[in-house]
Amino acid sequence: MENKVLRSAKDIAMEKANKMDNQKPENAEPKTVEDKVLRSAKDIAMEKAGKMGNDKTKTAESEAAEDKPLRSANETTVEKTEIDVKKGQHDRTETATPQGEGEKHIDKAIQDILDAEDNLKKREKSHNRFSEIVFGFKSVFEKKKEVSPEEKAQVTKEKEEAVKKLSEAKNKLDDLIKKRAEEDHEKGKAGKELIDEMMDAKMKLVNARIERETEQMPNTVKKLKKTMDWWHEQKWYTQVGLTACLILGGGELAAAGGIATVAGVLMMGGGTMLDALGATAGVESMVGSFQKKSRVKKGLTKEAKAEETKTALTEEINKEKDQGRFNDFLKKFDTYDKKLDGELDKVFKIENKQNRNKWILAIAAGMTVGAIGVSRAMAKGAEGIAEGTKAGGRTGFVHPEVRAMDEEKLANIVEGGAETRISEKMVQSMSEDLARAEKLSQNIGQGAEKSMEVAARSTERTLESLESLAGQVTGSPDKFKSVIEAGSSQWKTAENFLSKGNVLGFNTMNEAQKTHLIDSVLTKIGKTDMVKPGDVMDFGKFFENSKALETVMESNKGIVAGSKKFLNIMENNAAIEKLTVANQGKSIIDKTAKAGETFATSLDKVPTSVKVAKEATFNAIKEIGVSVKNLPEFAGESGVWARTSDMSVYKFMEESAKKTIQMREKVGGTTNVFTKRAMNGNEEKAINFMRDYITKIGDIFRNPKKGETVMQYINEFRKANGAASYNKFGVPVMKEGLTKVKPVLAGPL
Amino acid sequence: MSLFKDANIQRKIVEAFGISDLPEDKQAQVLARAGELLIKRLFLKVADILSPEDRNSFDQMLGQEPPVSEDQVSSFLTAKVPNIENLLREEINEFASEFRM
Repeated sequence: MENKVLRSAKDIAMEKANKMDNQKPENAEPKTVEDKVLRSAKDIAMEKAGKMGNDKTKTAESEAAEDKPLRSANETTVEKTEIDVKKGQHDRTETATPQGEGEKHIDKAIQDILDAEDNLKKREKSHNRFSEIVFGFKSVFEKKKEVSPEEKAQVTKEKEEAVKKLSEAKNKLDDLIKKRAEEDHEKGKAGKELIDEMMDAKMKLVNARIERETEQMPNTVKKLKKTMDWWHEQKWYTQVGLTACLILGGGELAAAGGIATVAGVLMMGGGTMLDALGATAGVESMVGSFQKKSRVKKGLTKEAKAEETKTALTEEINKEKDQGRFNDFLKKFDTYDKKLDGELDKVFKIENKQNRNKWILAIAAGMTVGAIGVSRAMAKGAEGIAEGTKAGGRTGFVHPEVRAMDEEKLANIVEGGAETRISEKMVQSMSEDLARAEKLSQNIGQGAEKSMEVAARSTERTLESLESLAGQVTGSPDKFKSVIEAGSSQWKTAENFLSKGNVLGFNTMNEAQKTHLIDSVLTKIGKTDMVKPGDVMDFGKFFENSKALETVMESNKGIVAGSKKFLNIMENNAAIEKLTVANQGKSIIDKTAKAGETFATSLDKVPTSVKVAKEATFNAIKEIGVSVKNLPEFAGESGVWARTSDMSVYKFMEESAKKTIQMREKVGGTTNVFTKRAMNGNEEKAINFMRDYITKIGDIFRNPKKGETVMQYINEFRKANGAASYNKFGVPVMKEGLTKVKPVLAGPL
Repeated sequence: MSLFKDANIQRKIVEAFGISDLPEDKQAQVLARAGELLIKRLFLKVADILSPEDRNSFDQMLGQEPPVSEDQVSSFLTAKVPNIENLLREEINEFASEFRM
């Protein structure tokens, strides 16, 4: 093994040496150190080989004998070239055993040869790499030399153009981004402003409604103000979302209330009152459901619709204002009508009153229907006249707007050119109007002064009375107590008490103030529903709290003649008076019902006016497209008593009737105007009918509980009273053996 | 021509109340009420002018069942009240000046 290895190394050395010899001229002197090393290595190798040939082992000999008897060193070396260097290196390591001096030299020589070979390879590699680099550069240089100046200029030009295009594109992009940012900013700003305006408009609308409809709801107004403050604190995106919701919901709310009340009265006229309540609640639910679906369908309001919505809101606000003025206007007519009726009754016979009024209505209808046609023609004519005036024509017609002009403008017109000249007759007419207006203004001023004087006197009286009462209240002495006499009532008893002692200047108050004070007293002392003769009323409680007393009197002094509150109270009093007269002499009745008897037999005949109301309402509902057939279905849905929770059932019925009649006019348009008039005060009759109805069977009605639904109320009512059936007029038929108790009729309900 | 269906009278009403700019349904409401009140005012004026006998006849006429025709009333008033048209116009003006919107 050892020898074999050595031989291999030897072969390699010989091969190398021989190879090198072949590459060099014969007997050439070594020139470089490397050559010297290789030459000496060869010599050494030859020497060693000779020595090894003499000292070879049996194995080596038998091996050699099998091939050739004796081979030259050269021959042997050539034949061993297939052995790789690495193998030799490996073997060399393995053979690191103590050797003789000669062997060490050979090893050293072999090592030197191998090292030299490695170095040579490295140098060759390095040289090749260098050549590559050099030739690469050369190639590039040569190539560069081939580009002509024109081509170079072209390339430069193209490069510049590309750079230019890129710059332009970048600038355009910058501009675009900037423009977009500015647009977004402006859009956002405009949108925000628009939304603010819309919201303000919406809130004004809400305020207008509240002011008009709920004058006695300061808490609601406060809440609204709070809401407004809260609104302005919100982020814009919250405002956008909420605005959308409000817009989508608000516009339909009025319709909801209107349709519901119409439906309620339809049922009231034909079915039972309780069914009417159910219908009201049901339709409210229906409309609520419709609103919900509508919101989903429409999605959030987009900015694009904001302007349109704003315009619509503004129009709605204006309509509300106009409607308010209009209602006030008609109310004045109502008051004046009563006055005229009173005067006519003095001049003409009462027994002819009904036919006379029918005749008046017929004549008025004929006359005014024609007037609408004239008005229409006038409106069209006015347009033509306006055009004619522009063209320099002359006219004797004065548009109502011109009539409203003040004196200064009027003078300008009169003194102006032919284009603006108006007839002398019209000038006179307008001057007369102005004079009347001035007179009216003076009257109003005088009236206000007079009212203030009255109020001041009232305050003085109040203070005097309060001083006189101070310290006399403790322990509720007998002088503050009164006994209810037979045929009297709590109201009358209170009135007598206040009148007898001229308490708080009662006897010098106007009728409305008296009503207000009596009502306040009864509320304070806790008016009960049922009293009987001999019961004692203690008014001392009313005077115990001087601060509360002052509040009542402060309110009382504001009820000056002609004020809105004054008129309301007086109207209410008139209605009650009729009712009181109708029930005069009726006393407390305890009665056991018989099977089939109704609660109120006297009401079995439904007044014609109510039937007419039903028909008119039916037509009105048809006009607005609500399916009457479906109404009972909706009646089954729940409706919350929220808005009626603080009302008595009497009050609710009354309000419901009023609103319904208003609604019928609204939805019915012109066709219902004369129908309503033909009903000849139907509103009042309908309300009185309901009042009468409830009064007759009032003890079985109870005020709704807060949060109770309409259907719950109705079901409880039916269960409690066993009124499983109703007669054809919707009056519940009594359960056998049920005891009904009529309450004492005691002043305002 | 009936006193109450004279186009001039109708025009006067619309002008006097300044309601030509209102929607027609509102005009109808105002006119229905105004017409009724106007007739009542006129009847009160007429009652002052008529002799007791004529007033009684007029009352009987209005109270008839079925009601008399509009033309009958119009003819009666034209015959018994001088310048009834002017009276009606004055009433319109006076009434409107108190109640104009």
